Amino acid sequence: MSAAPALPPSAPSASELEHLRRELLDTWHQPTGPIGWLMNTDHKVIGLRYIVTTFVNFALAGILAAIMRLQLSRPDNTLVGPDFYNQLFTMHGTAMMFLFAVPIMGGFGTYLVPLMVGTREVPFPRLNAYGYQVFVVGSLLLWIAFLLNVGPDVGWFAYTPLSGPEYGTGKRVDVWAQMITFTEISALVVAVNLATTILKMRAPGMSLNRIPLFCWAMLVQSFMVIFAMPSVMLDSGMLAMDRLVGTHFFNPAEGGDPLLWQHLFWFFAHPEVYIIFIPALGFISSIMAPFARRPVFGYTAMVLSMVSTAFIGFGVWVHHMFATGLPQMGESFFTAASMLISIPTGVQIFCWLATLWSGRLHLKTPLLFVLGFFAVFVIGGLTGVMLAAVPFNLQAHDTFFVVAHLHYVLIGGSVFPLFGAFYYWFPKWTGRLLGERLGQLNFWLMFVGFNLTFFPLHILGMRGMPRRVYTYPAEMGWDRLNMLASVGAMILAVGILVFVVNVASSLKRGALSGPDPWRADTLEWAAASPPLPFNFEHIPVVRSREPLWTRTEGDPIVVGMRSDQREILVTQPVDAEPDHREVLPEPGIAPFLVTLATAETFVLGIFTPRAYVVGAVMAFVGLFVWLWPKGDPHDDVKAAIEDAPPGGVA
Amino acid sequence: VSARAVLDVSHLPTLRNDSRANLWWGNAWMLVIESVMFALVVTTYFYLRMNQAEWPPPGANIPDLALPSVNLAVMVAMAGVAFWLDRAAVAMDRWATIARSLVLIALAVAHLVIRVIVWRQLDFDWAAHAYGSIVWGILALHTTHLLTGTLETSAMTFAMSRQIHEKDFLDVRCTVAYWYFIVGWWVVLWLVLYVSPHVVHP
Repeated sequence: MSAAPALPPSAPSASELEHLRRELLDTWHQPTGPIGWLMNTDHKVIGLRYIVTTFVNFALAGILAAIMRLQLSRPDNTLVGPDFYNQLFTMHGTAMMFLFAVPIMGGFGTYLVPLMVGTREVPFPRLNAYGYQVFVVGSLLLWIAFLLNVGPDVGWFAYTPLSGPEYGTGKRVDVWAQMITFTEISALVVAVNLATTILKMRAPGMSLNRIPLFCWAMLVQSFMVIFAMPSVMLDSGMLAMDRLVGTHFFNPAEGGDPLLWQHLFWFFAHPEVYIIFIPALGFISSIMAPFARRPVFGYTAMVLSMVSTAFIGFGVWVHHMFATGLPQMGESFFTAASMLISIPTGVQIFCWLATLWSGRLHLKTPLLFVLGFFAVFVIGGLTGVMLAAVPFNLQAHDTFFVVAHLHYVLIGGSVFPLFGAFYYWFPKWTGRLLGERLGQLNFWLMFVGFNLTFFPLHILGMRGMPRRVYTYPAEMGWDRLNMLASVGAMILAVGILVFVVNVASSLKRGALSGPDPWRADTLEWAAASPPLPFNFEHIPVVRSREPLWTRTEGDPIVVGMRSDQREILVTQPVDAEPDHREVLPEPGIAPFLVTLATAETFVLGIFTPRAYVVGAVMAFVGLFVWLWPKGDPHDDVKAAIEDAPPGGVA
Repeated sequence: VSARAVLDVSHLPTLRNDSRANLWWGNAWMLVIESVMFALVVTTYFYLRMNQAEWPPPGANIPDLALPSVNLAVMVAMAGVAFWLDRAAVAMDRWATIARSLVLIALAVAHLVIRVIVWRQLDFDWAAHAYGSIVWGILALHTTHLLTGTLETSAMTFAMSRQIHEKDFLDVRCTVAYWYFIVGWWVVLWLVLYVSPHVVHP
């Protein structure tokens, strides 16, 4: 580093530290009350709000799945009719993908990334607040529409022409299309914040080759969001226009093309699988290091694998369209690309196995979920390689085999690591550990329940049972395996209920964790549990890839930051050398005004194009308030800096 | 008091008016996102064209190249003015910044007027056929960005005329980057909308 840590001016004494802490608390204080709730910009508060909101969405979508499993448990069942069943599977898939899986990863990133890289906040905190608010609007839109019997009913990917104006009558599809807009704005906002945090705000000394693997995962994921989300926004925008103002993008009678919908959708939605999966890879690496008591094996290979997965992930979308009659030459290319992606995944699996092999395992709940990931995800990966082959794909297309595969990949690859992450980081959020005995029960119920539910679906699929059909006749011989799957689903649901009970009881009575219960290696564990609003009294200086494992009493710290302003340290992207200090804006109401404008535009835009004009005016007003220059906070108190003690902790 | 090493950052600047600033990065990410959007719209145009024996479809007029090209020249001139504005922002020259912003706004308004005239020459609307949908869609998407840029530059210029702080010049530089993005994509879209139907036949 250019500015080598110097010895004196010496580090602050205990009383100076206490004074500093009080001043920082005052500076980083967030507004309170109901209006203050809307103004809050603390990345930890926003991150936890994402996590709680998305978990509610997960539970609701899970209840819909349980109703479907009840319906399918017996042949010729009449618990629900075909129309409601269509809404059930569409709502389940839509909510799980758009309202749970993507945003919960963003929520974890929003909470953890600034702590892990050793900074105080994300670079655009008001934008962050706005992103969460539009996400809530999108969630409410979907669930309220469902309650009003306007729930989308054309599958989570809303294929045209079924979703077009001719067949998708009513407003159900429009609700789906606009929900997309809200959730994708939110995902993009999170991605921009996290990518900038990781590239520009790392603690001094945290060069690219020292970034925690979770932050690498979130960086790769943010890039994927930035390149994938515009595709579905364009796609759903064109669908909304076909439905509202009579354009013909997907209407073959007037030169449009329904397959255009599928191309644009899967150009987003296959990368989306990795947008969900890559953060989970970061969870696994984060959990594995402290629970195997060694750094994760093959850091560089892990990083390169994630990066190459992201690149290849953009070149496989057509494998969702093998049944559409595309040229065989093209299909071969996408088969090869789809199989190719198993190589970086395999590299990572072997790196983790090497880590476990050579580590001293500490078999607590977080690691159990990681081990569960291995078992489940590898099965999902293998059926993925099967489905990448065109002849098998055509045979299994639209059967329960695909349902089994995608749940093995998504639940195995993402939800198991996610639950491990809950157990791992809950002490950081709350200062209390989740109960270990309930945790083990939670894991085993989920693991057994999951496999009982989804393994039989492979067999049902190969026996020809189609997806998205509300019932089946008794003579098909599918009833026993379906009953088994339904029993499994109930066990899985009980497992998740155990988790909720564990959270509820641990919030009040859980064992106190202290800052670092797992003796982990990354910087978030150097902050208090829960962290104070400013995260760290002093920005740390990083000298290794595992800063907490190589920590000594004499480790250098950053001094000279203003504590009477929301000041952050901006560093250079590659070597994280300190570059300049920036003051973040105070919390304000402007993001909420823009949220109202966004909500007006896209909710009323379901009914009339005029809503867009009104929304544009509202947004202009909101943005005017938001962006009106407030002056440079460094201007007014320059004299105070000169009065500060040497080393300038003031 | 332990003799603990410290890294003193109090001497570091509190402002960077260039690509080292976080705001510059945030703006750049937005332009990348919107550029992906434009790239996909162009892809969609050629995807729809791929299905057609005749493009534009029978009955739709091939746009005349003359006036759009004049308007392209106005657009390219805006990039020059934006560059000139950028110099003023780097020099932190308040009144030059305001004056050049006003020139930029005037050119943008002139371009918008010509664009509307060209637009009205189309003898089909968005609901006529898929060609109409994509042409109107592209025009609407780019015009929305152009209007946003014009309004933003106007509001910024108004704010600077009342009071100015050193860090506001970073906003100017980000606005300039936005104008490069607007102009750059219009060059591509001019090729797609007005040139490609003349030179490439399916």
